[in-house]
Amino acid sequence: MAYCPKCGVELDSYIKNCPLCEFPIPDIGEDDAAELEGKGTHKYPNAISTYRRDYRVIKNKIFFSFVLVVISSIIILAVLKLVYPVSALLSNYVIIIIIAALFYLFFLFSYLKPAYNVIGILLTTIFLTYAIDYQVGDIGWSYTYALPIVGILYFDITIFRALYKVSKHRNQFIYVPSVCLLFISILCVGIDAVISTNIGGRIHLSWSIIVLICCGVIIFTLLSIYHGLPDKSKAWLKRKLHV
Amino acid sequence: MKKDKYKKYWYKLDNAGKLYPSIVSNRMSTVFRMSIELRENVDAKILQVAINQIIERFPYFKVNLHRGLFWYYFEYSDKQPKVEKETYYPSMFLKYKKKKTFPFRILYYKNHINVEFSHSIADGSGVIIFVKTLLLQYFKIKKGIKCESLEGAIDINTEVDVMEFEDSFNKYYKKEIPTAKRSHKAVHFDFPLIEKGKYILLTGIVPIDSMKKQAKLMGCTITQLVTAYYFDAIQAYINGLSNKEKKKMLGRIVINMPVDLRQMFPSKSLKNFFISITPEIDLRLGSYSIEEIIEYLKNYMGMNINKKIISKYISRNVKNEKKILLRILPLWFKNLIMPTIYNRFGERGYTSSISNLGIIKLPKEIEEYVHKFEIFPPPSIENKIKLAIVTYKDKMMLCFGSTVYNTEIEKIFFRKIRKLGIPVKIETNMR
Repeated sequence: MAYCPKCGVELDSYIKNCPLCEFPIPDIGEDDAAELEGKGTHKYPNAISTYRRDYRVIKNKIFFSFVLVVISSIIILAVLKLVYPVSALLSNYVIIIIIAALFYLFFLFSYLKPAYNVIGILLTTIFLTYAIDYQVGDIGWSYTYALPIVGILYFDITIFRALYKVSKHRNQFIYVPSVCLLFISILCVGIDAVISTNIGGRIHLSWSIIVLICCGVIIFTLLSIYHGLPDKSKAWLKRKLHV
Repeated sequence: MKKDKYKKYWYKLDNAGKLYPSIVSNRMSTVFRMSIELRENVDAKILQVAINQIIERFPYFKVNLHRGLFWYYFEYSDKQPKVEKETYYPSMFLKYKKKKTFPFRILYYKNHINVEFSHSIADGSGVIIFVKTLLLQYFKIKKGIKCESLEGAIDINTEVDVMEFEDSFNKYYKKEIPTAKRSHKAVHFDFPLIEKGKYILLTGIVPIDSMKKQAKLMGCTITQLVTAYYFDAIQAYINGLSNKEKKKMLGRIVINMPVDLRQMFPSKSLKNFFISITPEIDLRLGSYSIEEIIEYLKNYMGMNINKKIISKYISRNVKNEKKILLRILPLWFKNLIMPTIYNRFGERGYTSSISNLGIIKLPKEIEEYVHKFEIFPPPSIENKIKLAIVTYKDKMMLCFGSTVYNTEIEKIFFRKIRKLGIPVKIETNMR
C-alpha cells in the first residue's frame, strides 16, 4: 500500500503524487504486484473534454452559414448589376462590405494564432477603406487617414497585449482598467495627430490632451490605491482632507 | 401498465426539476453520477440487455425533453438507451435538450458502471432504486442469480405505479402554510475555475465502524460529524489565509444539505423530492471549536428537520412555481432569466453542499459481486466544491466533486479525519 507521508492517507500504487498535497509518493516497489492483481491501473479513463470540440463545431456551423449567405448575396448582386446597371456603384459597395465582413468573421473566430488574427483584421480594414475610397474616384482619405490610423492601432494593440499579458494575473480590477485606459489614450493621441497633420500640415494635439490627462489621472489613482501612497503623501492628504 | 400506454405519453417536470433545463450549461451540467465498482470487469453486452429489459419498467425515465410554450416537458421515447464506454470527463454536459437524447447515460469502464442522471428527472434516492434494479437484472442475466429480497429495487414484472412519477412537492403542498425565508449571500471559495467541460472527482474511503465510534464519542450522528469537520476544514482554510485575503473571506459559511423527504412523507416518487436546509457558521463572530459546531448542528437539525418546518420549505418551492407571473412567461424568456435567478436565490446563498444518501443495501445474493458505491454531486460554478456521502457494507465513501484544481479544502478535511485515527483511502480522476 502506498501512503502519503504528509497527509497520512492511503493511495493506489500507481499514484505518483498525493492528490491532496502533491507530495511525491515514495516508490515502495508494489507496482508489479498491483499490476498482476489488476489494481495497478487507473480506475478512471484518460478523459477528454468535449467542450472544445462542441465549441469548434458550433463555430464552424456559424461560419459556414455566413459563407453561404455571402456567396448567395454576391450572386444576387451580380445579377442585379447586370439587369440594372444604374445601381452598379451601390452593388459594388455592398459586395465590398460583405466580403470584408466575411474576413472579419474569419479572423474574429480565431482560426489562426492571435497575432495573425489581429494583423488579419487590420489588413481587412485597409482593404475595406481602400476599396470604398477607390469606388468614389481618387485614392484620398484611405491613404491619408485610414492607413496611418490602422498603423497606430497596430502599434497600440501590440503595447496593450504586452502589458495585458504581464498584468492580467495581478489585481484584475486595477490593472485591466489601467491598461484599457492607456490603450484608449494612445489611440486618441494618434487619431488627433493624424487629423491635425492632414488639416494643418503639422502635429497639433488638442482634444486628445484632455483624454490623456483624464485617463492618466485615473490610472495614477488606481495604481496609487493598489500600491499604497508613500507615508508622506498619506499624511499630507490626511492633514488637508480631515473632516 | 403496458408499454403502449406510455407511447405519446408526456410528463410534467416536477417542482425542483423545472428549473434545471433552463440553467444547464457546459460548466453547470446539473448531472450527478452514481458509480458502482464491481468485483469483475463489466460485460457491456449484458449491461445493454439488462438496460433494455428494465427500462420499460421506468417509462418516466425513458423520455426525451421537449419544449412547450411555457414549460419544458418529457415525452416517452421509442428509442433504447445505449450503454457507452466512458471516454469523457464525469458528469459531462448532457445534451438532453436535443431530440433523441435521454436525460441520463449509462457508462462502463473496466469494473465500473457509472450511471449519470440529470437532476431534472430524478434525485439521488430515485436513482438508487433504478441502479439497484439494474444491478439485479445484470447479475440475473450474467450469473443466473435470483434474489429473494429486493432491498428497495423494483420488480420489473410488476405494473408501473403512478405514484412513482408523481410530483410529491405538489401533492404535499398546503396553500395555507407560510413560506420559509431565503438564505442571504454566503462566503464562496476564491479558487480559479478549471476549464469548461472538466470535472474533478476525489473520494475518501473510510471505515464506517470508526466513523460510528467517533460519532458516538462526540454524541452526534455521522452526518453531523462529517458536516462539523467540513465546516471546521473551511474555517481552518480561511483562518490560514493572509490578513488581506482573510478579510474578504470572513462571513457566513453556509452548507446546503438536501433532506430526502421520503422519510417524512409517504412518497414513492422516483422524481425529485428533497428540500435543502442550510446550517451556517459566521466567522465574523469568531472561531468555532469542533464541539461548538457539533452542538450547533445538533440543535439546528433538531429544530429544522421535522414535518412542520419542512412543510414551510415545500410551501416556498411550490408557491414560487405557482406564481401566475412566472407561469405565463414564455419559455425562451424563462431560459433567459432563470440562470440569474438561480444564482441570486440559490447558489449565492451557499458556500458548499453535503448530501448524505445514507446506507445502500443490496440483496445478499449479489452483495459479494459489488465492491463499492460512490455518488458525486453535479458540477457547479458558485459552489465550486461539493460533497456527497454514501455508505455500502463496511465503508463510507466521502465523494468530492470539484470545478477547481485546488484541493486545499479536501486536504484539510481529510487530514482532520486522519487525526481522529480513522484510516482514509483517496481515489481521484486527477492525473
